[in-house]
Amino acid sequence: MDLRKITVVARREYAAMVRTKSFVASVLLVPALMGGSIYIQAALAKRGSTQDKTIVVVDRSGALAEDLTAAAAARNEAAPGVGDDKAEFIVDLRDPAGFDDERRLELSEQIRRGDLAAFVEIGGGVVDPKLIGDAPSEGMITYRAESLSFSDLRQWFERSARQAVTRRRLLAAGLDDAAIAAGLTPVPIDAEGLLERAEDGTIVATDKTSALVAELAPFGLLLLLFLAVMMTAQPALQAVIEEKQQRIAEVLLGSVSSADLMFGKLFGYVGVSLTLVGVYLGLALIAASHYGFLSILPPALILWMFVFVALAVLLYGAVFVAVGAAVSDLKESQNLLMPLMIVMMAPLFVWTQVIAEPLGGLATALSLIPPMTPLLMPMRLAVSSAVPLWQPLLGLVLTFATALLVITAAGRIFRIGILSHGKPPKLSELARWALRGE
Amino acid sequence: MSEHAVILDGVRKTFSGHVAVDSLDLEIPEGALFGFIGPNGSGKSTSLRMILRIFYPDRGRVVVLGAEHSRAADDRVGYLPEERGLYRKMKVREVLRFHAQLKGLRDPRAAIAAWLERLELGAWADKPVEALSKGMAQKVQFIAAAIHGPKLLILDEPFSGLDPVNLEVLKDSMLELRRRGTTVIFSTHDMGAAENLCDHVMMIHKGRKVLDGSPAAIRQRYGHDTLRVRTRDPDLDLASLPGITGVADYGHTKELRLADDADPQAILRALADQTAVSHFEVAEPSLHDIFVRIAKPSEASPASHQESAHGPA
Repeated sequence: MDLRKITVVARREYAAMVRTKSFVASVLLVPALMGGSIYIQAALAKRGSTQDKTIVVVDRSGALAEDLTAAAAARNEAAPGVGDDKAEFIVDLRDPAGFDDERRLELSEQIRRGDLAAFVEIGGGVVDPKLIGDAPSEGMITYRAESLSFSDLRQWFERSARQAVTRRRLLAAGLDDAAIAAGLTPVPIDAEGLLERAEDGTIVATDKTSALVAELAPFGLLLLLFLAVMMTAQPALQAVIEEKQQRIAEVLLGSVSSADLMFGKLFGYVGVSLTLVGVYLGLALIAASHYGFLSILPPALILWMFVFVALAVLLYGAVFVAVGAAVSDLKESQNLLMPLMIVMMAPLFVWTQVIAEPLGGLATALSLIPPMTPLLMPMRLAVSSAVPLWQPLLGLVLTFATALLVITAAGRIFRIGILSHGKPPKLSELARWALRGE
Repeated sequence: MSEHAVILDGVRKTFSGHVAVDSLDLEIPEGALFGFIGPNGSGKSTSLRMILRIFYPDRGRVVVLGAEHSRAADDRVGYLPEERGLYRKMKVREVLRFHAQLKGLRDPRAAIAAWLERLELGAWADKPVEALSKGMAQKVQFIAAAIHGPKLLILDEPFSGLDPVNLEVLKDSMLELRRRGTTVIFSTHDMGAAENLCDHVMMIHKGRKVLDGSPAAIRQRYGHDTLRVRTRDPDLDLASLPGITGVADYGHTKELRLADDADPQAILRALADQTAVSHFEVAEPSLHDIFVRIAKPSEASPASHQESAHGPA
């Protein structure tokens, strides 16, 4: 180990990666894309659709038609836009008599043609259960549309129909409209942060966390860590392949041992990834403090994120560098990388289970499996402050030990692979290189 | 302090069953300009890489600058590999700074400027490597190998692909380094360069050393067994002359190899009967001719090559 040489190599790798246009572009692009897509979605949702939607209603109860028409009128009144721009919901009442499958088919065809948005059959007993009789369908409402996804029309109809049914039942029970309106007014529920004792001794509430932020933050964090590793590992692979193709490797090996060369590269990449995390966390902190969610990013969590990103880059970077040294072009590397990518992406498949019960046995076990630790442990720490300190520490030790093992094996592959040209090694050969170094 | 920059002692190296270098003994004196010659695939680069400790021998000892177990990347050694490579996106100055710093030079600015000046690359200092011509890139690579003032400089095929002007510039630099005490080992196919530049030449063939000595001593071992002839009629069949065992055709000049009992005067008379002779010289064989004699399998079997190489001494 020659620290001076490692430093020289690390500095060059860092500069070579960070100074490229594509790096700067991707650093800027990722938040721009994410922010942009959220903004566009929000803007589109606000704007809403511009097309009128007609819903055919067949009301066998005879009790809801009036309420639904009124609800549609109220909704249309409040909808954004004016004149033709206004997307109105039109309730088209049909006579229940003779409404059979032939009629249903006809309406279905109309919906398929796009002339109609949906049709609804309201059972005769939806307000008065005594009228249901032997046909359970008389106690329910059937909604048919081409796509059963959450459209604004369906949401509106469900809300309005339930309200209308409730109102009719309560009227039948003898209540008047004023009492019903009072009874149906919802009570607000406000989510507030936990209390803590401030430095001056007073008890204060921590920043309040909205449910949305609390849910999205861990995933954002997971994504950030994953990106920070991937955005370094992939170019690292390319850089090593290029060094091999351009025959730079042998020149370097005349000046620096293969182990020092690899460590230099890895440390350079760690620097790159930490820069990425630093930039993104910085942006996140600014945004969080602006919107008052600073409490979701406590300093200890940030520290752990840096630590685990560094470990992840050492662990995965070593494998990518070894693969780059073993193959002679990018195409050959893809086969070898497939299993690795699955391991790397595993946390993305299990993260929902982990945040659902961050202190549970499954989450604890998963977060202590070294290849997953760097992504899952910070996520658990983000979701719950009750994760005992020994767990991230144990995760740190286990991941570090794994990284050392992997680096040793990868270093052997690197040393042999970087100077061998020609056909790519078979997996068995790679295993022999890794285990025996020859 | 050893007076030999490099000592190889019974060195053998195999690659998956193929013997690349076998039983190689070699002593390279300090301050020498030492040439490795031999056909492609004969083991030159493998030998150089073992001296550099990029490869380790299966058997035998490799002593470099007095140390038998020094590290692969010895800062006292400079290396120009056969396959050149520089980071294409980096500027010439940056690449040289990187290599100089790797070799432990703290402030390489003055050395970079001086070397760029000497090799006539000053105008290219701030251009990216990918903008350089092949010859220029090769000179940059040479600087990268020599910039830190190594005690031992190893150059694998330094002249390949250089035009005559750049060739002279590079040779001058090698001689300059030797004057300053650097031991220079280089491999080459250019027999003329080896003959003129080297204090000492080692020829390796099929992994074995077949020649070892100063160019003059090697030529002398073969005696005056060569006729250098130039005639008016270039297409004359010279092989049919009495006492001639081989003809090396260099165009206008031909080198004829004499049988042991051949009489040069009789050959001259026979030649003069057929055509006008403009040049006739009884000479030592050139290094090139010796090289071809050993390396060309049509002339004799490899075993007798070795005998003939060592035999006449």
